[in-house]
Formats: sequence, structure tokens, C-alpha cells
Amino acid sequence: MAELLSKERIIARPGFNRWLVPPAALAIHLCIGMAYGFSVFWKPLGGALIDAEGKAVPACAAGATTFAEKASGTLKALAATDCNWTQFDLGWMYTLFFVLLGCAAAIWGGWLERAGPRKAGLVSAVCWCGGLLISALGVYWHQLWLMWLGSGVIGGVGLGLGYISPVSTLVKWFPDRRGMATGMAIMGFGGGAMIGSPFATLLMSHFKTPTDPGVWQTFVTMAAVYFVFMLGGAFGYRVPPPGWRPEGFRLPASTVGNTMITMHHVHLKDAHKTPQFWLLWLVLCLNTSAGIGIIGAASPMLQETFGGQLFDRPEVDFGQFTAADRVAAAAVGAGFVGLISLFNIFGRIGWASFSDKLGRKPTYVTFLLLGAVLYALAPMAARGDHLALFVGSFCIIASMYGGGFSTIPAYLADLFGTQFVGAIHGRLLTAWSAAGILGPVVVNYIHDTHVARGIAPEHLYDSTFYILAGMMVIGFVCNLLVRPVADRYFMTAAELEAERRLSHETGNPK
Amino acid sequence: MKQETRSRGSAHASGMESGPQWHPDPSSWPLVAVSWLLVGIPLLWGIYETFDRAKILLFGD
Repeated sequence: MAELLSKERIIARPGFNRWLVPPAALAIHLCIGMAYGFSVFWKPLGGALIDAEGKAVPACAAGATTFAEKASGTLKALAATDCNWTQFDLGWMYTLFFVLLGCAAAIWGGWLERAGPRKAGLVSAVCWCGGLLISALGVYWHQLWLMWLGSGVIGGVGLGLGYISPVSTLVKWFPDRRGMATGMAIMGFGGGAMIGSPFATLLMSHFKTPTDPGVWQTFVTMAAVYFVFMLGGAFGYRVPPPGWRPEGFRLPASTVGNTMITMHHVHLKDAHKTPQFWLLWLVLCLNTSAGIGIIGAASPMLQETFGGQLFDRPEVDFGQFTAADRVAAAAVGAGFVGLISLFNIFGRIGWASFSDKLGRKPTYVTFLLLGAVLYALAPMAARGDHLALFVGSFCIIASMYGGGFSTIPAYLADLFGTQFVGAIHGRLLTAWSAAGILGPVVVNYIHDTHVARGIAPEHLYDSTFYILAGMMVIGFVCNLLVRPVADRYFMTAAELEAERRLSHETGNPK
Repeated sequence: MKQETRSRGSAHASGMESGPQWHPDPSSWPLVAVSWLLVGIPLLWGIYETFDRAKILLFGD
């Protein structure tokens, strides 16, 4: 078994088709991408416990209004079996997902480079699917802490390892199209919820009974299906022999002499000593914070900003909505979320592929400059009641949010070389963890403060948009400061050779 | 202390050192097609489901 998983075992034989690697990576990313779609379980879980009359029992945090009261309710909910969970209690799973994803990728990225993608993919499958099974137990016994531990912590580790498992391999297989190759895999993470959410809805409607929402059975089924897919992906991985190139490949003229694309390699232990690493960390953190904050609030933002215009009753403000208006507005809001998701995933493959032609730094210049302009124009679009302009702007922003994720591995490979790119990418993903906290806090804090001050719904987000535009400008400056890595950080020939021996890259192809 | 050269011209430390090159085996393409179908079909279904939800914003009721 150990030999089956070893890195020597997966060095490709001559004639191996490199186009088999992206679907293997997609198989893993499409499964772990379901992390984005977990909100589909919140509502069924919120009413999981019912009384003798068939009504949902009160939540553990019933009546809580302040953050402290809600947090206190969550503490009670962690082990209580006689009260229901709120969205606030369950929403912490998202925080756990993205914090653990970044931490796991940072901690075990170095191990992955030496152990190889197959072993990492298998561990990811065990963690993610095992986490779902533990969550199923948590739902069955109504123990919130088991949900957090299962999907949040153990599953989060699986997310981190699965996310970075194909990066290094794809960059080495596609030296001519680094952006496109990593874009294809990372598109899968964006698309995972698109498959997982409707799949989970189908399963829950199949399993539910008058006394059971069918969530634990759905977790078990999804764990089994995902495990098969992820195993297929892990065993589909092959790594190229060192220095492999596609037949007839010549460095493009734009690459020769381009100091922003190195032919050398920075060791993982040196990467964080370079200013380039921290500048890119800030770029990713700021681009992601702005995107996460807005994507997380997309549906209420559209409803509050445009009110009755969303269903041909422009005279009605959000605050005057009837129950029927709320249903109609929520449907349009859900449509907006769907549209943003589509732009998010197509942005991942589109922008990353485009960066192969344009260059990574100019691509990020585009993201951050255009993003700043679009955020700054959003209040104007809202004031002028330009719904199409508003929606269009946020679709472009969503595409650049996705593009930011998918282009960063190629940017790192260009600057730091390919030997440790997966592990360096893993460490950079801590920026995502930080953004997962910063973005929603900025957007939700300002929103709640404005609501408390009685600001009109259509202006609730104005200052948020200006702050996000400012964040993009800071990111733009950081990106402009990125220069080629200094020579002293590159590995010597002897260090590279020693590293390749440790990484088992000199074994015989099997 | 021994100083090692870390110049950009160091041939062995380069990522572009000469390595093997090959064209894919022609018989591998059917497997490539099957692999892409296995991941592509669920992805297209997910995209269709999402587009179905987004239709209301693009085209109204």
C-alpha cells in the first residue's frame, strides 16, 4: 500500500497524456468545493428538533439579539440536545473551513511536495469524507460540537490538502500554460457548490420524513460518493520527470529575458523571507476580502439597495416589503447569487488562461484597478437606479475574485520557480483565512452599524463600497511593488539536487 | 564559510534544464475523453442548475 502511494510510483512513463491530470484535479476540487454550499443544510438543521405537535422546538439562542447573547447561545448549543441550532451557530462552520484550509495548506504544503499529490489526495479524501461522516453522527445525536469537529476541523484539513494537492503537479505538466492548468483545477473548487447544493437538496428531499429532515443520511451518501470521486482523482495523479517539457516546446519569446518569470527555484524555507511573498499575500488577502464580503451579502445587498424595482414595483422600499414581496425579492436575490457564482467559476478559468498571454502582474493590475473603479461606481449605480449596471459590475467583480485565486499559483511559479510552488501556495493561502474573517466583518459590521443609525436601505452599502475600493487600491500598490526575486534566495544546483532526491523525483517511472 | 554560487546562470539550478520530452500516446485520448466526461457531466449539471436559478434576474418571471 505504501508503495502504491509513493511519489516514485506516480512518475509518468513516456507517452503519458498530460490532459489526464486536470480531470483528476477537478475530481478532487469539485468534491471539496461543496464547502461553499454548506448553507443548504442550515435551514433543515435549524428545525431538526420538533415537539410532540410537530413544531420546531426553540433555538438554544432563542431571543438573542446582541453578538454576546448569540455567542452564549452557541456555547449552549454545542452540547445541548434539547434545543435547535441557529444560522449563527452553524455559520461558524464557514469560519472553521477557511481558517483550517489555510492553516493545513501552510503546515502540510512542504510534506505534500515530498510525499506527492497521490498521498495528499488520499489523505484529503479521508479527512473530507470522514469529516462528513462525523458530521452525520453529530446530526444524528444532535451534537453541534461533532459537526464543528467533523466537517469544520477535520474536513477543513482535507480542504487544505485537497486544494493544493494538484498545484505543483499541474504547473510542471503545463509549463506552456501554467495559468490555464491551475485555473481548470481551481475552477472546480468554485463549481463544487454548484453540484453539491442541488445534489444535497435532492438527497434531503429523498430521505426526509415528517420527523427527520434527512440531513444525516445526506451526509453519509455524499461522503460515499465524494470518496469514490476523490480516490479516482488521487489515483489519477501522475507527476512528470524533472525538467519534462511537451514535445517541441520552446520558451515563448516573451518569456526569454523576462525577469518576472524565473528559471530557478526558491526553497520553501526561504519564500517567506522575500518581500514578494508578503506583497502577494496582501494582494490576495485584499482582493479576496472584498470579494468574500460582497459575495456573502449579495442577496440582501441587492434587495435592500433596489427594493421593489426587483419585481416591477419601484415605489416600494425594502422596509415596506409585504410577505409576498419578500418571497419575490428573495427569488431575485437567489438569482443574483447564482449569476455571481457563474461569473466566479468562469472567471477562474478565463482570467487564469488570459494571464498566460497578458502576464500575471498586468492581470492583477486589471483585477485591482478595475475592481476599485467598479466598487467606487457602485453607489452611483444604486443612486441612479441602474440595476443592470449594478448587477453587471458585481458579476465582473465576482469573476475577478475567482480569477485572483486561480492566477496566484502561476504568479508564484513565475516568481519562485516550480520546485516548491505547491507548498509556497499553501502558505499564501493563510491570506484566504485572514480574508475569510476580514471581508465579512467589514461588510457586516458597517451594514449593522448603518441599520442601527437608521440609514435608508438603498444607502446602507455606500461607504462599504468606498472602503472596498480603497482596499483594492492598496492591493494595486502592493502588486505594483512586486519585482523579481533577488538572486540570493534561489537554490543552488547542489541544493536542488538534494531536494529532488528527498522528493523522490529521481526514481524510475512506473 | 563556504560560499556557493546562486547566480541566475547556474545551469543545474534552472527549471528549464533539458529533460525528457514526448508526445502523448495516441491510444490515451479515449481515456482522456472519458475522464473529462466523468467530471464534465456533473459540472455542466451544476452550471445548468445555477443558470436556472439566475434566469429570473436575466429574463424576469
